[in-house]
Order: sequence, then structure tokens, then C-alpha cells
Amino acid sequence: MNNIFIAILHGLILGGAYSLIAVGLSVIFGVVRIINFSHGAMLMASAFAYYELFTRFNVDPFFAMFFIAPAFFIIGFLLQKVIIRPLLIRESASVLEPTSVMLFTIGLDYAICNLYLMIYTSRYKTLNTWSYKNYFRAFDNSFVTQYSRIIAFILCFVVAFGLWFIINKTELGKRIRAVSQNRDAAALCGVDVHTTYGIAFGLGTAALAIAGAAMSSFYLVSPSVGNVFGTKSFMIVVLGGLGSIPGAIVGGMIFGLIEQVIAQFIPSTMASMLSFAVFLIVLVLMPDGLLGSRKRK
Amino acid sequence: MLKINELRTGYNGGEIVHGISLEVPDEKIVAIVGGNGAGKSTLIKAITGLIPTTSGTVEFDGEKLTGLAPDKIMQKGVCLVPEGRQLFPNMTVEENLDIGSCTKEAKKHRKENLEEMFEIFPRLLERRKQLTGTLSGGEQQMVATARALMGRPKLLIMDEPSWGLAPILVNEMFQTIKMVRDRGTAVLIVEQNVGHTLAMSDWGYVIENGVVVMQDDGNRLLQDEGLKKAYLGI
Ligand SMILES: Nc1ncnc2c1ncn2[C@@H]1O[C@H](COP(=O)(O)OP(=O)(O)O)[C@@H](O)[C@H]1O
Ligand SMILES: [Mg+2]
Repeated sequence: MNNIFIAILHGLILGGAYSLIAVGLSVIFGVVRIINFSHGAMLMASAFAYYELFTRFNVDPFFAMFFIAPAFFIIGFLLQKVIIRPLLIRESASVLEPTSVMLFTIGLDYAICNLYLMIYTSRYKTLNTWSYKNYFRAFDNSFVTQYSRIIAFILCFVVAFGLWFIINKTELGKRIRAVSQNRDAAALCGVDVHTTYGIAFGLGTAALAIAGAAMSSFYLVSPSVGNVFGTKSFMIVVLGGLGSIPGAIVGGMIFGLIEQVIAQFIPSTMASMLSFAVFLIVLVLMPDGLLGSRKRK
Repeated sequence: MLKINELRTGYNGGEIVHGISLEVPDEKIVAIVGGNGAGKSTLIKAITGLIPTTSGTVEFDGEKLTGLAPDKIMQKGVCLVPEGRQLFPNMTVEENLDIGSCTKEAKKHRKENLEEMFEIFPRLLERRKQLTGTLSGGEQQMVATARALMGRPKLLIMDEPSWGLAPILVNEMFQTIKMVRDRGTAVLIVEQNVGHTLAMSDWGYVIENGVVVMQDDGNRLLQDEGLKKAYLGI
């Protein structure tokens, strides 16, 4: 089999994992207009939840996610309702961009990371699950990858479709879109804006917890793991278009492809730099990202 | 029905409305007129809960509205057609109207109300699946009005509904407002189109610099020499 073809497959599979991690961030931004800088830390926190469940009770993350994701929905919802809401209300009277909320999520990121560093130390852990140990093989063994990565790839589309469906095809989704397009007008129509924000935040956080199940099954678990994927998530979401679910998928795939395909020709650190370069070029040429919609009045 | 007593409000310390009292009786059209920057929209925002009040009260059917969030005030039966329409631009006409009827009470009657809206505004039926951001100004105003009516208001508040409309559409819109009143909904309307508005209003208030400077029956206000000079240029 052609090397490039195999590299493209690897790139798409990796891209799927990136997209899965990024899509929740995009949803939260799209609705609440908050860039959640604690995204990476929450991903890491969910990974440790899977670590505990696996090492103590031998529960596979892909099974545990059916409980962890709802738990993270509640965490995200409460985070919005209890902490972010008062900040938003206080600030909405004075400015348009919620700066204090952004600073809060940055602080939260540090707090969570250091808390986990205290508890778990900086040592890397691996979860020796079935999907971590076993490999999917195709094309006469020329394409070999962990099953967990294949599952992550599939989950990326399942989660993205689920979120897309909720937002575009349900009554709740209508309220979510209304609030994201015009907060005051939605409130005047009787929509409870802050509960809707809480639900959007919860959905994004639950999607992140599902990504955590995949990540803890193919990568390492450590307190710094959030930084690795957190920064990439921001770039992916901005590249694809803030708030756009298909954009998060396209952005993730582009990052995966650059890292895997270009790395065939140049050293992989250079390939990482190249993804930054692509990111910057796209931003200069298309400030709203690849699939971002230009804001209408 | 709506009773406002000595209301004071503004933005971040700067008081704009300096103690306004006014009343909207059942099944009547009440107009607020006044120059640009007089504080009309600010007053409306305070009534509907978009900005906090500093002092004074807003009462609706005997219940206090002051301090409630906009969605709670809407659920009491006060719906607003805001200044500049404030539609959801990337949603269809029908979705906009669905949001207008997203509360528990209104949702029960969504279907029949939707049909009624399409009767009042046949144009919206044609544009049902079109994104409201791509509609003409007149059509957008129809959506804004229909969206508010979908909430089954007891009181409909309109902030400059004729803004940006062609004269023929302005006439149509005033016909609609009278029809809304005749169906039993009270209307509080803020307008720049002073002549037209006062002529159809049961009562009118003139606001200058955040205070009520004149009030009377709509047609009697129109006879006032000072008002004629200031707003009608006669
Ligand atoms: N969001 C705001 N923040 C601060 N000041 C405002 C704001 N909106 C309006 N104002 C000020 O309040 C005053 C009254 O405005 P407004 O109520 O919109 O007048 P009107 O609707 O009668 O034309 C104006 O001086 C305006 O500059
Ligand atoms: Mg105004």
C-alpha cells in the first residue's frame, strides 16, 4: 500500500480524535460566547475519572462514559448557573464582552491542573484497556492503529451529529439558537437565558467527557495532558469557525492530516509548526474561520 | 392594567428617566411620543426588565413587575416589539414565531395562533421557511409583531414600529395595531410618527428629557399648538 494513502488514513483518524475534543468547546462558544479556557483542564479531569474507574473497578472508559458524560453535563450546567451567571449579569450592565468570565475560566484551568498535580503527581499513566492494547489492521497490515482511535473517530461523528441534531432539530435547540443570536430578544420571548446557557455549557462539557473516554484510551493520562489537547482545540475551533460544528470536524481533520501526512516529508516538529502556519494563514485570509458565518447584524 | 409610578432608571449611574408615571387601561391604545433621546426606549427597557430601575414601581394587573427578569415579565402577559425589531436573523420566519410562543402557556396555542398570524400577515406564510435576516424591512416588522403576538400578550408594547417602513406599510401597520386593540389587547406604542399615532390613540404622553411634559386624549393633544410646532412642523 502507498505510504501517503496510509498516512492520510492515520491523519483522518487522529483528526477525528481532535475534532471530538474540540466540538464541545465550539458549541459553548457558539451559544454562550464564552471561550472556555478550562476546556483542557476539564478534559484532563474527565480522563482521571476514567483512570480511577478503570484501575479500581476495571470499568472500560467507553462504558464508563455513559455515566461520566451525564455527570459532566451537570458539572458544566452548575458551573454556568452558579459561578458564571452572576459574573455575566454583573458585567452585562457595563460591557459587551464578558472579560471577567474569560479570566475566570483561565483561573479555573490553573486551579484544576494544580489540584490534580497535587493529588496525582506529574507521572504519566496509561490505561491498559482492551481498545488500548488491541490493534485494528487493514490493507495487509500496512494500516495498523489502536481500536481506541477507531472508536474515537466514530464517536466524533456520533457526538457531532448528536449535538447538531439537538441544536437544529429540537425545541430546546431552537431556544439555544435564539439565545445565541439575540440574547435580549430571546429573553423578551420568555426564554430563560441563563438556564439555556447552562444547558449549552452542560452539553459542551458532556461532549468533552466523551472525548476524555477516547483520549484516556489511546493517549497518556497526566495532569498536563489538558495543555496538549486544550491549545489544539482552540486552534481547531478557530480554524473551522467559532461555533460551527462541521467547522470543528473540518478543523480537526486538517490538523490530523498536517501532522500525519506532512510528517512523511519533514521532521514531525516542523509539521507541528506547519499547522500553526496554516492556522495563521487561514485566520488572515478568512477571519471567521473556514466554515464560520460572518456575523449578520 | 399597566401602572407605572415615579419610575427612575438609566445606565450605569447616568439617570435618563427622571420619575415617570403613566397608565395603560384595558383594551386601549396609549402612545408615548417625544424627541430623539428623550428616554422613551429606556423607559420601555425598564418596564420589560431589560435594565434595572433605580426607584419607582411598575405594576401589571395588580402584580409588581419591578425587579423581575424579562422572561418572567413576558410570562405575565407583557410582550415587546423592540426598537430595531431584534429578530433571530439566522432562523426562519416560522422558527422566530415558534420562539415567540415557547412558554408553556403559549405553546399550547401555538398552532392556532400561527394560523391566525398567517391570516393577519399573509406575506409571512409565503416566507415561512425563509431566514428572517434576508427579509425586507416591512416583512421583518411583520415578523417582530407576529412574534410578540404569538406570546398571547395582554399588553403589547411597540417601540417605533414604523421605523424604516415605506409610507404604505406604515398605514397597514397602524391598521394592524387597531385590530390588535379591537381583539382585546391593550397597546402601548412609542412612535416618531406623531400625527398618525396620536390620531388613533386613546391617550397620549409627551416625554421630554426623561419626564412627562404633557398628557391628554390623543386627538386633543394633536390640537395643542406647542406640540404641533415641535413634532408636526406646523
Ligand atoms: N445602552 C445605553 N447605554 C448608555 N446610554 C444609553 C444607552 N441607550 C441609550 N442611552 C442614552 O439614553 C438617552 C435616551 O435614549 P433612548 O431612551 O434610546 O431615547 P429615545 O428612545 O427616546 O430616542 C440618550 O441620551 C442615549 O444616549
Ligand atoms: Mg428609542
